[in-house]
Amino acid sequence: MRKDDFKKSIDNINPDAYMGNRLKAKINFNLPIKNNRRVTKSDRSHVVL
Amino acid sequence: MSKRDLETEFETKYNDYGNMLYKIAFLYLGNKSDCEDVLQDVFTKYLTGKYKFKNTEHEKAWFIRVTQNKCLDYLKKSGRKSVCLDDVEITDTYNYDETAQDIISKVIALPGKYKSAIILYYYNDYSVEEISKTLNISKSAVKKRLQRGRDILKLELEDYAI
Repeated sequence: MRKDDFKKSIDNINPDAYMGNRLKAKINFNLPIKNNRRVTKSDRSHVVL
Repeated sequence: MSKRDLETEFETKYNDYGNMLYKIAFLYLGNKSDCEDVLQDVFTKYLTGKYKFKNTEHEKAWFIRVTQNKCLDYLKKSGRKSVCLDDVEITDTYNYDETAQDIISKVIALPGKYKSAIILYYYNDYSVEEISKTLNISKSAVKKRLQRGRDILKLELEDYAI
């Protein structure tokens, strides 16, 4: 397989136009931010779906 | 950082890397909703972690590596080691092209560790050395993974010669 064919096949994978907006809506930007703090399961439960 | 700053930061990074990371995640997971879950985790990790990067290449490598690790974790959690092609919702997210679809479905079916090396080398144009730094493995391990990945694809795609 030529590299171009491989690249073309991957280029054909595309998120839909609204994915960025959906992710933005899902991520809770009000989370308390601390240095080097890991995201925990309880953080995820606050994520707005 | 205020809520507004975080939102702006998200938009900037999503514009820079969102598309590329989605392609990588899709090759691991094979469907749109799982990809979105993984990217949500990746961007949440970035936004809450306050990471310091040496340069944009370092940052890009971080995003790629975290995405790959999150995909592998996701597969592990859901009790799968790789994606079953029956579960792949390729038409949802893919511009229709039969040959390209065929190639991509074979890449999706590759074992995870070979897939990472193949994607970075053939799609992201990374050198063996850069892949070894990104994946934190030796250069000879990268070469071996590329070779094995190519061997599997060769068998699957007999009409092509890699």
